[in-house]
Amino acid sequence: MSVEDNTQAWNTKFSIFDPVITYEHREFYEKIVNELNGLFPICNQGKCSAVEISEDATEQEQITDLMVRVENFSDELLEVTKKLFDQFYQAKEEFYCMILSNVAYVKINLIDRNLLERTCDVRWWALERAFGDCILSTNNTKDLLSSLAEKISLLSGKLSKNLSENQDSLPSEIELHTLLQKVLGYLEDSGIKIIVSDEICKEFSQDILRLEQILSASVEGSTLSAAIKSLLQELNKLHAKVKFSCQRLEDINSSYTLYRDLVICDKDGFIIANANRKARKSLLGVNIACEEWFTQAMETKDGTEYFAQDLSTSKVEKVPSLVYTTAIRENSENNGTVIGAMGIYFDFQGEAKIIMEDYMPKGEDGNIAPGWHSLITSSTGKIIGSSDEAIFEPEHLAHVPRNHRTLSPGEKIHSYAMVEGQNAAIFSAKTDGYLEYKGLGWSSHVVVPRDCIFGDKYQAETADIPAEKLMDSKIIPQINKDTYLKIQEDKESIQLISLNGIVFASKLGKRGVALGPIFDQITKTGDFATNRMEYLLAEMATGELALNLQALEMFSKQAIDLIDRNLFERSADIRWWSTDSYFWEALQNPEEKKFEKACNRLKVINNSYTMYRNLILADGSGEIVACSKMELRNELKKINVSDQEWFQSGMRTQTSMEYEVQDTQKSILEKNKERSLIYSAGIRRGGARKGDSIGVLGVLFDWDTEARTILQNCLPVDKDLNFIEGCAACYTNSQGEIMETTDPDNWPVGLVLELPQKHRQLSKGESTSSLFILNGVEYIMGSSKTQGYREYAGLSWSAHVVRPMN
Amino acid sequence: MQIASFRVADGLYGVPVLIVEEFFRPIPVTNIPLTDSRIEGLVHHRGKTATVLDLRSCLDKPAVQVKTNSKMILLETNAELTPDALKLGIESGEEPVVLRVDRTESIINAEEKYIKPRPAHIPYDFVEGVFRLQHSENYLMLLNIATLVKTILQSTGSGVE
Repeated sequence: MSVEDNTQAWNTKFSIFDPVITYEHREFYEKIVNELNGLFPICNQGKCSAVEISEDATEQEQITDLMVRVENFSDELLEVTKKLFDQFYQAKEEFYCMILSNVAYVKINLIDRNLLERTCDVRWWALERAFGDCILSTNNTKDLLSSLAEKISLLSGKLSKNLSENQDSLPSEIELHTLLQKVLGYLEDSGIKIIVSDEICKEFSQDILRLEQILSASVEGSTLSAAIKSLLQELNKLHAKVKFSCQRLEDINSSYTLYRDLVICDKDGFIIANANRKARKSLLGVNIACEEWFTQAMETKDGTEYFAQDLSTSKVEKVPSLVYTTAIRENSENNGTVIGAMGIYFDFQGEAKIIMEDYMPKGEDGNIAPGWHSLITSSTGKIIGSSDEAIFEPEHLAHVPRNHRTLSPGEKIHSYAMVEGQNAAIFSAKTDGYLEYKGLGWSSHVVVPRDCIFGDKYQAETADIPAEKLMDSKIIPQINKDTYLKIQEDKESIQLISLNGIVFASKLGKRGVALGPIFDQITKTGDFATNRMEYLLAEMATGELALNLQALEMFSKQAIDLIDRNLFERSADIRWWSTDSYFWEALQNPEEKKFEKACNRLKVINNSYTMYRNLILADGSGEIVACSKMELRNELKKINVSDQEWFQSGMRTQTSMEYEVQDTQKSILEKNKERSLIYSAGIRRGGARKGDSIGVLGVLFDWDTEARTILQNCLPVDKDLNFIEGCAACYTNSQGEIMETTDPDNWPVGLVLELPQKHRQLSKGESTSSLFILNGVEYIMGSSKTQGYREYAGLSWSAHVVRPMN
Repeated sequence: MQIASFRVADGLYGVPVLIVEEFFRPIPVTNIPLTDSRIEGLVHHRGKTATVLDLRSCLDKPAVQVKTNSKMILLETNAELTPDALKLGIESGEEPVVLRVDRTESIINAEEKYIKPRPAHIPYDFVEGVFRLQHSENYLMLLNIATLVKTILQSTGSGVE
């Protein structure tokens, strides 16, 4: 990869000889200038004719005056022409800068939003009782194993001494010594192998029992015997706990598929449970005490703290790992003693692949268009994600201009540079985190061929709107409108001069005949030049419109992407919670005490996941037995939900991998809400992964608040980042019915939009834009259809962002 | 004959070039109360005070709120007409008059023999004749200023010195 750091200042004036000016435009310019320059000799001719045709000084003066006025207007038009091209190219540049800087920022922001969820995940999962139990049990067992190791070591020492002093040792003594050495071998590293491996534990049990047998007659034997018995009992219990912890981790991972592995470590940094079955055999018992994420997790002050380990090598994986971690505390208490740690390995490479591809134009082969690149760099400037690894190689320093490597949080920057021998524009944005998540200092860069900015290759299809109407609309910047008016005015002025000139010549009778062709030529030239300029302005206005449409498409894509990603998390939540022991225990043993426990559990969950309005547990007959909002419990108890779609479909689920969700709709669970969005999943006997449901967990997502917040963040802004008046954003379901909106007055929830065909027929992940009229108001509209996220397929919803024309 | 053409609403109209004193951009008009609605008011231009006739009103076309491109045409009075104009039988009014038009067009050369009398369906006396434009299906309606001025100014009894 080669990048020449010859960045040029942005927003410089565009000379007509700038290589970015297209051939057609240069030709255009030359024609206009030639025509206008042609007026000067004509005016001179006119001035000479004045002397020839009249001896009257006043008449001569009148003709000369007309000619001077024509010359002045020609001069002015020449100036305007130069400015016009400059304005044209600057406008394109500014707009692309707005769009692509935003694309660079959106990419890093999407990652940050995602990673914020990960910090919540790890803190929540670390509270799982099974993990704490397992670690406590491990720590206890390790103590027993250590004391056993000490005793055996003593015995072995004594025996070794005897054997070395006494040449005639008995075979039984030699056998005992060998056995002791073998047992000591098992007990290395605090006996971790015995703890994590069933097979090794079995071998160990046989050997230790044989040892007990041999020593049973001796004094040492009697003390050992008791220790061995309790140890074996403890080991049995521990193995069950390790197995259960692994199962729970697997359950989490099958709900939250964006992790490659989840590991639990004891206080010494030994991995005692993990989620990834394939890696389990080689991973359990591995010590990661020297890895930063573990030491940082062990140092966290309370349950609210976490540590994010930037991409680095780990014994757990072969590829660089992004690990979110926190301590596991005694009794799952916020301020409990730290007993171990949990590390969750996020599938960053998978996520980066999705992000790198997003918002990039595709060529005919389905790959990102040539010359377009997207990359993410770490805080040290190394590439950690790249859309083309052959050009921007991961783990190497990104060769982007210096100022792109030293950004402040949230800063956006753009400049021109040579990339791979091609003139390119680079847009960069640095993370400023999302809410309380501060980010890891990463930056996103988008590289675009420079001619794409000034050519028409990457433009949305423009709606069929006449230039005059566009010039009258709010979409076109004032400066372009002013130029348009100035050209119109000059055109008129030249026309008036010509007309008056011809009137004047006519009145001179035959004497005036010589002036006729002069004024004809002035009219012709004036018309030609101004018509060309008007044409160029119309092209500019259409270009502006295309870029506006493109921006709206981008905002709508951002809106649908954000909701997709949010709802993906919800689909993961419901699947995981439905396996919680409090819920199946309450449904299996329907007692008020158990229901209360289930309520408390739901309340704890709801307090951590505030994007839900209520969490509801219904038994197999549709009676509501528990909910997270205790104040509503009595009221909800009276409701039977057996006829509700969310309940019925939840009951039909057969595995813990399944969940159900419908479009937003009116629900009896929320009488004061127009619409509810309910996710549901079946609860299975004993928390089993497969089987019939014995009840349903339903979670009521705070749809309107969350969706509106997202939509509001996707509204277009001007270059000073102020919202543009009259813009609106909304989500529609597959029937085109508005489900949430930023403008309840003009785009109310429940309104069915009669969308243009190309908006209705969008395929998954596609975007489009066009003119749309609602209540007599003309808007330009960008729409994007859900593409889902990972295994969440989406609900065929679309996002729309509109901007009024006037 | 040279005809100065202009547009009013969707129609193309014209007056002889020799009756035109000057084409100019609109200037502020002083309204005169209680006059014919076809009279927009008075303007002061080139040292003369002239009555502004709104051709849209004269032709019973709906008024437009924003007259962005509209132009004014100052006409010669009878006393100012050149001998060439008089030879052609061109007549104007006695007082300075300005026509308000929607847009000025070009100067057209029309041979008199091609100017046809006003068709019966055109109800305005001040339309003197029609002329078919070369290479076009469009017709230009030639206005008779003397008749127009007489119709309007005499019906109101106004006149400006």
